[in-house]
Amino acid sequence: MAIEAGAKNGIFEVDDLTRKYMREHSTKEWKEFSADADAQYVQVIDIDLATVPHTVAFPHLPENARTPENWGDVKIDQVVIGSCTNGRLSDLQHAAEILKGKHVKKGIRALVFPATQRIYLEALKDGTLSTLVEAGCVISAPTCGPCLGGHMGILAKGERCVSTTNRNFLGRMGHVESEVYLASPEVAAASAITGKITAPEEVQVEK
Amino acid sequence: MKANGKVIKYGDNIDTDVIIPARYLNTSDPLELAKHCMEDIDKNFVNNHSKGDIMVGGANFGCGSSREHAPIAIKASGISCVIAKDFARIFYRNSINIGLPILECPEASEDIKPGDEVEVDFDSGLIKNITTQKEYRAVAFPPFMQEIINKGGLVEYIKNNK
Repeated sequence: MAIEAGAKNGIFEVDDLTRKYMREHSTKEWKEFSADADAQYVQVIDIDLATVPHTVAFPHLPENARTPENWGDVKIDQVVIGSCTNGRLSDLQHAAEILKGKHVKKGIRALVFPATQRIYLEALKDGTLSTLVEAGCVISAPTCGPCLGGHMGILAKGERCVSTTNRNFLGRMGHVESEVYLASPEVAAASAITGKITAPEEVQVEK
Repeated sequence: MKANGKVIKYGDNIDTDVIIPARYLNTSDPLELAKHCMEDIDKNFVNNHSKGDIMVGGANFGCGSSREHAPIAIKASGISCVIAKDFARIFYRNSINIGLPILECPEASEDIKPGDEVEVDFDSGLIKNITTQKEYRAVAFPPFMQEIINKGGLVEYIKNNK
């Protein structure tokens, strides 16, 4: 999402978590690059991610971000959870935690797209997908699908979708008069229950 | 190499979804793509411009999905050049790679009005507004980039330089 925020690119220092991921996902040798110890930066901005409130990008720009006090009452027709952007196993698990024992509101389509076949299988084995299906979600194969209005979940005229995908430009997910609201899997799951853009704290979570 | 044409102007953040909506990505035929270029924000574009016209945009032109179809659609529409305040990086590279000349020039982007007649000299980077007689200077392409555009894109350039 660095590009959507206006950056030229987004890179991270290699850490143990990255190395673990590489060992699990690649059989190839890799080379690590890191910044010079005396590197000079034009600007350094520290952000404590734990303090960032729930944020939803309203139509029709990813940078059009709003926090809960400015969401208002936005009724929706569809929720998309997953995709390349927020389709990690942890994303699906977080959505399942919120939807567990609850049900997607009548009239709302809730579509789930694991990012990869491997994640699909893991979510299948650990019961995450069962929880989501029991809550009324539809599980798709990993695909670009509705993110760019490709297939399955294309928005009709006037429809609104809360989506964990990456772009919400005019006509992005279908009809030019449809609207896409970009959100986290947690906000998307809560919104599926209420039928409007909703913070997860507003729906009681069963432990 | 020069371009000369009437200006069609758009605002900031013209994204690749409006340049060519995804519902038309089931083809890579440039002329078919050109039929739908810009239609979600400007239904008149396809019928109201002439070959050689110049497209002027604001900041962050070409943001969004990396889609070669986007500069291809603009080029196949007959647009001779895109001038903007600045371009999204992927769109910029895609444009060069498919041979669409694009120039960054904040002053020109701000000043030039829709319908103005504008001449662009790619060798010097000089942008001349014939209507107002004002001149703007963009950074000219280095020779190798101009050569890629002259050849019609990266594929043809590499074929020709084997």
